Amino acid sequence: MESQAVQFAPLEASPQPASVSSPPPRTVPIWQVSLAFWVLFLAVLAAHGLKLGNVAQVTTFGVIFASIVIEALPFILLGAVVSAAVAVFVPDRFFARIGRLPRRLQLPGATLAGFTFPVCECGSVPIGRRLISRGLHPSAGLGFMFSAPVLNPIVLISTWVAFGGGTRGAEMVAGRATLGFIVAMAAGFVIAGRGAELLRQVPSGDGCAAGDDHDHGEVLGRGGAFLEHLIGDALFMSRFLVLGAAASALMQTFVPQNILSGVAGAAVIGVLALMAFAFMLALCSEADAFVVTSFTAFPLSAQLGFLVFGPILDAKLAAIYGATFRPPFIRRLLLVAVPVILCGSLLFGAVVS
Amino acid sequence: VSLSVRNLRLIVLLLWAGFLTWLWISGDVLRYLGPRTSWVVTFGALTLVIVTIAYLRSSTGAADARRPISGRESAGLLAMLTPILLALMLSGSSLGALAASKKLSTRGVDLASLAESLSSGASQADFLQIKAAADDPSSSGSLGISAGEQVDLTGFVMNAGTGPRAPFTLGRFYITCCVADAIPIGVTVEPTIAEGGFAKNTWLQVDGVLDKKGSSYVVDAERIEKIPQPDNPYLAFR
Repeated sequence: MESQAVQFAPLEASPQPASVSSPPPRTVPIWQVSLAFWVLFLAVLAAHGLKLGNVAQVTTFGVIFASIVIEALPFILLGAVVSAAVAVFVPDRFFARIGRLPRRLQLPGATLAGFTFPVCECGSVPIGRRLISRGLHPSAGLGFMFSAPVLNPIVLISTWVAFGGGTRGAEMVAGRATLGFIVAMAAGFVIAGRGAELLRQVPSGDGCAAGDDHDHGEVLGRGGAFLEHLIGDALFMSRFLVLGAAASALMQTFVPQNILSGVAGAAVIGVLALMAFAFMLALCSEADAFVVTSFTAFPLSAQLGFLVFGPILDAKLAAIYGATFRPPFIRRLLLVAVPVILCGSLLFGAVVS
Repeated sequence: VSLSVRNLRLIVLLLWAGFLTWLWISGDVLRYLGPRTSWVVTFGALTLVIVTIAYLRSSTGAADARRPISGRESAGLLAMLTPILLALMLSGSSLGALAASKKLSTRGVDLASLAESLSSGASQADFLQIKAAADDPSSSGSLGISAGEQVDLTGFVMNAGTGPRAPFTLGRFYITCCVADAIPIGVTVEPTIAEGGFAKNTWLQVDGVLDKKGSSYVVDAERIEKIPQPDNPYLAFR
């Protein structure tokens, strides 16, 4: 097989572990798993009996939580399909060749590639992670991961449509694409600039996830290996999606959103407020433009901040990043993304108004 | 006897495939997503069914078919079932008065443009048009809203009145892509007969006449009827 004949040459700048040796995990007897399942099932029955569905907080949390997961899970699946295809069907020599390119070419090239992949933020993380583990410079992998949810054609078209097309739609598309590209480049450059290890080590009990490029092909053939990677990636990401969705739903249940309305007219605070709102709502980037267009009390600069920040960092992404990347990934991302998006949004506002 | 990674993964995949398929076929997807994004459930259900069947048939020789599962992975996979369990537990529930009090109010939302996009093809005034006309009187004409117009509204009680004749707010959530972005829009209803006093979250059908009070429109109710929650409790921005 071609992909096995050419061995990937490790890059000095991207010393990612291909696999991790850790102590064997403690195994769980089947009766314990069955017990946990039945406890969950009985909890549902008890909740029905106690009419917990009539408790407003439980209902609000549960409906929002389930809604975010139901909407995002198919996109994680889509990302896992692409990630598995990259792992199994793209030969090592391709990545070896790309990996030998200087970073000054890899980073903009990978970031621009975001224009071509119609995946939103949940789907781009497994792909970015896979690219890094296959030998792409980490900054380039991050550049792609941050840019794809903002720059992909579906997102840009939906942005144009949401803002009514015409000149205003074109301005918002241009602003979103330009600022998204700049932020993705800057974040990739700063976070992974020194080629430090980015990917978390994956405990062996977590299967073939998070950059584990062991070869299923010898046992299963390419189809089987593709499936193993797809399912490993999808399940690994989904559990953290569940965690992030729960955090977002909790915030939406207990934090009154009207506190935002009071700062709508303030230039700087308005942008920061809508960025915080984007973090809290955890919307899909392919639909977020339709939501933000209705917040007309906020200036266009704040709406642009919402559109660029949300696909790069929100509540569900924070959980997924936490599981995928080593700390202090999120802190560094915030340190880069917030000032760049704030300045870019304000500049955009000054230009278009 | 230990459970293999493969078997627990299969259980989780099967349950999710079944859940998404049920949402798709039953139409319950509209309790969570708007019409604009409901296609993702169809895509997810079909993909998961195909992946699950393929996994069932192909991976019996894989290492994961024999490797016993760890406590960490068991917990992670079981956590993935919580949205399904919550959805089953709250089957038939929807956002209500509490969510309306926490969600971003219509202040700052361009209701007029949203209402105009919705009013094309609409046979009767809805919450959005009434609220938009109150916020921007110049749009009343294009929205077809005026005092004396007959309305028929279906919604839930967002803010309860204090007595049988006391005004209350009847409203509905409008969603764009999913209930996470829902916006509550309500209209004040003034019972003309002593049949008010409804508790929060009660679903009602109200027939009445629009009346202008100050800058707002209110509905002078001629008939108020308790109804079960509609199959699709949300209205959608198109």
